Amino acid sequence: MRRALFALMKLSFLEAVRRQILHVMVLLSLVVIAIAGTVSFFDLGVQVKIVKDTGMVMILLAGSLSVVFLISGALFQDVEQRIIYPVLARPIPRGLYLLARYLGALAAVYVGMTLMAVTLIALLWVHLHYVSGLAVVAIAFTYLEVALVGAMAMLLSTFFTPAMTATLTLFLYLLGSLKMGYLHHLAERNTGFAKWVITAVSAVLPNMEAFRFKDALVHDLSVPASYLVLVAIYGICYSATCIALSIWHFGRREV
Amino acid sequence: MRLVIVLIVLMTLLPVALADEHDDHGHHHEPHHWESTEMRHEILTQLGGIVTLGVVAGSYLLVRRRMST
Repeated sequence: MRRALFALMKLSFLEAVRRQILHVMVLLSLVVIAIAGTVSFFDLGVQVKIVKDTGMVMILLAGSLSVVFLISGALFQDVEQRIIYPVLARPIPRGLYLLARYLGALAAVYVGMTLMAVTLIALLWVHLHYVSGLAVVAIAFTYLEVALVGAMAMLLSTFFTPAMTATLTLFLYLLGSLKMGYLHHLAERNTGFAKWVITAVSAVLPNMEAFRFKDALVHDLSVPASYLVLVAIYGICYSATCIALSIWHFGRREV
Repeated sequence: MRLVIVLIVLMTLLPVALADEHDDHGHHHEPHHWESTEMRHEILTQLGGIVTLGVVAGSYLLVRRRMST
């Protein structure tokens, strides 16, 4: 079973790595990070803050968009192009197939994100001659956030077409990012049915803001370790739930 | 090609949208999310929900497996 998982993951990874969208995302991000790190308009303190800010935003943005576009069409294309039938004709559970598709695509995105992260760390090293541990922590949580976005995309892709999945995932991602600042205030201001609906939506939506430690990195602030552990457990559990639900739905669906 | 143009526009605009508001000294007006008790409460509540869902689903699967054997 493990051999089948790794073989399918490898196929999914190779397919994702060849996709043009990933190349464009990674190249654009690398160019933006490199420009922010090399073109100097400000004094060193401000310049470093700009490098950290731009680098973290670009890693998150490129990672999230890539994972959404790579995963949202994966299952749909496999069914449309009939690639899935010879695979499922073997004694391979559908759940394993879906998990391999998810992990393979995520691994491809992580390769791109690692390139950006290494560039960012190298630029910080050039400017400061040291790299704080918080930079590694902030980047690690960006990886976790991207894994969660990918899991959401995978869940939605078992219900909808690629275009619909990508749109819905990005919409939910945006709503999840505005949850504490916007949705909670909206729920407080409304009454009756509207308040009930907003509260229900807010209860289910993932809290994307929790994974962002860019501000701590930019302003050299400390983050409690207990909070980091809590957010890590939250991210892993939420992603696992999305994948479990998508396996459950994909297993019952007619392909 | 259209997709590339859309991506370039997105990647140019979104960092601006994602950027936080700072005052002149670069400090926030609101507490950071790792300092907020509301945020911890929110995360713990959702984690509780996920664990409950997992326990219910696990129990259901266990009962169904026992019934079928």
